[in-house]
Amino acid sequence: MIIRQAERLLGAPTGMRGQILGYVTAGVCQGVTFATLVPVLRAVLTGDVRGALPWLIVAAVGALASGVAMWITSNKGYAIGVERSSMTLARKLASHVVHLPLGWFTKARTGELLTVMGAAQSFGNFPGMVLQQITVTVTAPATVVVVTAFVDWRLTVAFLALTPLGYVFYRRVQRTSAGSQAEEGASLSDVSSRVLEFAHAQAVLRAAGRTESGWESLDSALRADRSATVRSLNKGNAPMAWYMVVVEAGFALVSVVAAWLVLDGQTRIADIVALLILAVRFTEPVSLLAPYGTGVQLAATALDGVDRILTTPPLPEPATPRPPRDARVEFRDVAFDYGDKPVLSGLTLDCPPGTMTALVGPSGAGKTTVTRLAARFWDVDAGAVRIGGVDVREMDNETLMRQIAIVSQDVYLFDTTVEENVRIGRPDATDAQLRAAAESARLTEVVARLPLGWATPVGEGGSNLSGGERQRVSIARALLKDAPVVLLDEATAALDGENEAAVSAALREMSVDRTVLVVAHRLSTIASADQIAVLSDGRIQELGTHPELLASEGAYSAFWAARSQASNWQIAPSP
Amino acid sequence: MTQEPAPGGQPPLVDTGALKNLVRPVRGKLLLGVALAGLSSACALVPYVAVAELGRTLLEHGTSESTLVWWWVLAGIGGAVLRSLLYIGATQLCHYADADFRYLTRSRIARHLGRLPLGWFSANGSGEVKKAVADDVKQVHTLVAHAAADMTSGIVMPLAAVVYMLTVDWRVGLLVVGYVCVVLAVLAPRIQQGYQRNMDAFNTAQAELTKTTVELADGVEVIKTYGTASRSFGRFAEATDRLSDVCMRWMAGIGRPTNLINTLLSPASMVVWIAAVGCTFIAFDWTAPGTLLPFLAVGVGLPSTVLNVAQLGYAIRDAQLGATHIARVLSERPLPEPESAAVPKNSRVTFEGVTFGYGEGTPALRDIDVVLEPGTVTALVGPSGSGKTTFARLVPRFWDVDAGSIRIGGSDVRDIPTQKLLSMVAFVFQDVILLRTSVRDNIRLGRPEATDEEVESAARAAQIHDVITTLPDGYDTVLGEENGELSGGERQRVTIARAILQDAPVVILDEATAHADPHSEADVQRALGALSRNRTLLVIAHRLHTIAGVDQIVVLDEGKVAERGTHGDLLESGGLYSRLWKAQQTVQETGK
Repeated sequence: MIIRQAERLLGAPTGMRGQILGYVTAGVCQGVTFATLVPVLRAVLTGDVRGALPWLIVAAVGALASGVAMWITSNKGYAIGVERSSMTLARKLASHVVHLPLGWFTKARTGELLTVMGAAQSFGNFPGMVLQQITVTVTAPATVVVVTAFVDWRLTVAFLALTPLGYVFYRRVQRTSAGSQAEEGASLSDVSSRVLEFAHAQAVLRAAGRTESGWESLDSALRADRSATVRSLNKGNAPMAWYMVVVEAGFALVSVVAAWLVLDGQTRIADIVALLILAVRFTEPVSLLAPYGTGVQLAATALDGVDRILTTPPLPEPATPRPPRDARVEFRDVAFDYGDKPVLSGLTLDCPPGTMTALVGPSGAGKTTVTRLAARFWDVDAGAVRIGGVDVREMDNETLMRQIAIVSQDVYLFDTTVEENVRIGRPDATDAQLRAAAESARLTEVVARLPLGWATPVGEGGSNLSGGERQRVSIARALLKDAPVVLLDEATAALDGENEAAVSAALREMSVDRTVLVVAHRLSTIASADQIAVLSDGRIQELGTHPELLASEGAYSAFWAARSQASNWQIAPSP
Repeated sequence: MTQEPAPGGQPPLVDTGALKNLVRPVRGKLLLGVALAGLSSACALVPYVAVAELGRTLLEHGTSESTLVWWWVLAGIGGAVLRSLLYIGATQLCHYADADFRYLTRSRIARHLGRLPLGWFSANGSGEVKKAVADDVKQVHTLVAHAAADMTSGIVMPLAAVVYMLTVDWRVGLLVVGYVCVVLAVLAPRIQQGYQRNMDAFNTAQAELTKTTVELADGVEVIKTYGTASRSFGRFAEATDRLSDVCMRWMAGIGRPTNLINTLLSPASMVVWIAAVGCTFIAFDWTAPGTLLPFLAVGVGLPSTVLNVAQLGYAIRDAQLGATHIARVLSERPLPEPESAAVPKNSRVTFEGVTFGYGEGTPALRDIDVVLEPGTVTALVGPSGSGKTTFARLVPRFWDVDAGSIRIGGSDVRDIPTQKLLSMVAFVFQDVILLRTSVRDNIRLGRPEATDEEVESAARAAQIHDVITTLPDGYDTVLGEENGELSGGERQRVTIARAILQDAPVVILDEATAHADPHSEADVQRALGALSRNRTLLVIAHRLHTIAGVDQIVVLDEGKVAERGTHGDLLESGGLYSRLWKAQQTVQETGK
């Protein structure tokens, strides 16, 4: 079942059936070698050492065959596990994920993706180690059991008597272990977040003189973790214990039957001794089958995780894509919601080519959603978003992305050099184009300040640069791309004077000859827009230029008055 | 096994004493568990011995000694049952010890954190804390829960087996044991080498894959808009290729010797070797035919137990690494508490010749002399990196000064008990810290004994009462990460309400707070106004026009006081302040 699932996900045969065959061969050959102990001991114990020789040769051949099968299968298992399974799964995940709607990506999803990536990696152990442990541990004793049938069928019955019961407990171990693993994982992540909170809030907790109260919530999380462990332990260990008891009982049964048979004179001493040695030999590995089984469990969980992500549907691509005519952006009766929360309903907005439209409105009004729908991060629920007269759903993804440059509020930079980060905009850009974009984005002066200039690494997520500097990099990137439509999410956080001046100058430069849709916070940006759209309750409440809207004395003029007043705020009014 | 260099110097990567110290509180349980595991392995040998001896009894006496045969059967069964019971007991005990260990260690770390200077948290971030509390503890946990017991079994069992075989026939015993030893002695070092050679490459490649995965998720907006062909996506593909490569190289390096060991020491090979040696000895009449039985019973499984132990070595090293890091966090020096508690007379804050640095190199602040008079507003101004934030953080004693002193109401902050000091100083910075508990409790943190009415009136003053009443459970709504019921500005006002309730005579605030959320700018500003009334107020200023009316402006430049005075004074003197002022005015004009 796992193998079928894996092959469905990988879209290609994995060769895992071959693996099983290889390990079965190894296990059977091992079993045959063991089984030769019966004739070998018959010969030796009756004083005919020479008679043991042919059987010794059979044993050696069996051991060699088992070794060779094991060697080949294990080597192949590694290649299959790493190359054909885990890395292929990782690549599939990655290329699938980038085609998912942006709405899919939340903080929790980053965590999930990491977990699943890790799981995909650990799945690499499955075709090799896990399959080997289970297959060999089952087939070698099974072969011996078959051989016992030729010695004395009553022993065979004794061997097999408790197998069904063992299987029942084996299943039970697998079921409980999955549950308790999940439980422990959840309690660990709760512990981590409580501790982080405790560390984060130190100043507040100490100021309140209540290190104790912060401590209480942490302590209760820690106690919960302890009792979760103990609980899952008590629950999980019982089936494991029962499984082991059943295996030992099987051994006991075989010993008693064997002793009875031999004392009754029904079976040869040599045969009984040989079979008892084999029975005791196999008791331990068989009792380990249950823990080995958890390996299968883990692999199955890993595949389920991968499956969940790979079956999330990506945005559909059009059968006959159409190119846009110009850089006009239109929203027609657009309705959109994030699952349960309606965001836009009946929004209509027209942004003519080469103009700048400022979106304003209270937080949660859906301003950013509007810009993201233009880039088709999601598909609308009703209505249409068009660029250059063509519905974004009728363009192929690459064409659409060529039309658009995005400067978002939380600028994300890759952990590489400044230059690389800008060049993402157009990998084949000449140096002159790069410099020009940097100049317009006011990035040149930032680069001059950096220790290694263009070659300075920006750090993880761009952490070596300040917020304003990061924004300038992303503007340069967008400028270099030179797309006709710019979607801009102005930063709300306060920038220092220098950065604020530079960023607004860069934005002005960017809006020349382009269609700009900006989620605007700065009063200067808003006032200079060609049209201002006031969003409220998921639709456009007012639309016009700054003077027009001020004159109409509606929501916009109230908003403008409040914001202007706030921007003149003084911490202690002049006496 | 990520190995990070510790900040400051090169402490030993692995401190073996650390593990011992850390595990000490649960040593009793753990030792008992380990002892049970040892006993279990000793019992595990009994069934093998019983079967072998049963065989020998039958060979020597035929079926005449039936009582003895039954006794051996009983012994075998007894051993098997005992082995299981003891093993289960051992695992259970070790896991209990582990649960205790995790609880005790984590609470020990947390209690220690509670006494560290606040500055430690801003310097090390939450990453360090999470690593110690979650990751490191988990690494050590494997040892406590599993490895210690498995290790003991892995040693006791083969030792007992070897002793048994040698007593049966020392020559055959030597040949069997010798074979295992020779194979391991020849091949094990090669595996070890291959392991070490590729371990670092493997860790690096794996970390790289994790990093690029995070990039893929966090940077997906960029990746989507700049096309999947962009280099960013290529980085992920490269990372998978590299990891796959390293894995294959690793396997090529250690795969051959590992497979060779597994083949040469496989149970089947052992059967052949033992049978061959035994038959030879019997053929030459050097030993009785029955001698073969103990070796077949015990010798065949000998290598697998030894190989298991080798695997566990890595678990121990992991645990040591984790323990070393935890020990390092636990050895961070706590902030010394004063022996006799000083009581500040009023809310005057005085910096006298204060010099402070974050370590080697140029100090962040030098020779600072500043007085914040009770009931006045002082603004800190200066280019970024001039020391404004450091200045502000020294007042609530995030760190201790290197020279000079900071006094509140005449008492050195180092002489005021931490709780008293922090209750006197409220600070509102841009980062909002709310606990995952009810809104009411979040506000009440400012003064635990406050009544519901007092909480409400603080919320009203902070312009947040009306918002709270619209929440699903009002003041009892639990604030969490997921339910984003409150916007940034609203969360900010909750923390301001907390500070208002705290009613501290000294307030430190970052002026950027007032502008952090444009949608509730005016409300936040009103809340800040309520907080700063009639207190000694220190403001870190970015937008100069917001502080034009304050009583005193202190201009910092490269850690020194460059200028001080009122807005008017400073404009007149034409120094750094007036230059900064002019620059900002230009921005405002061009902006509008």
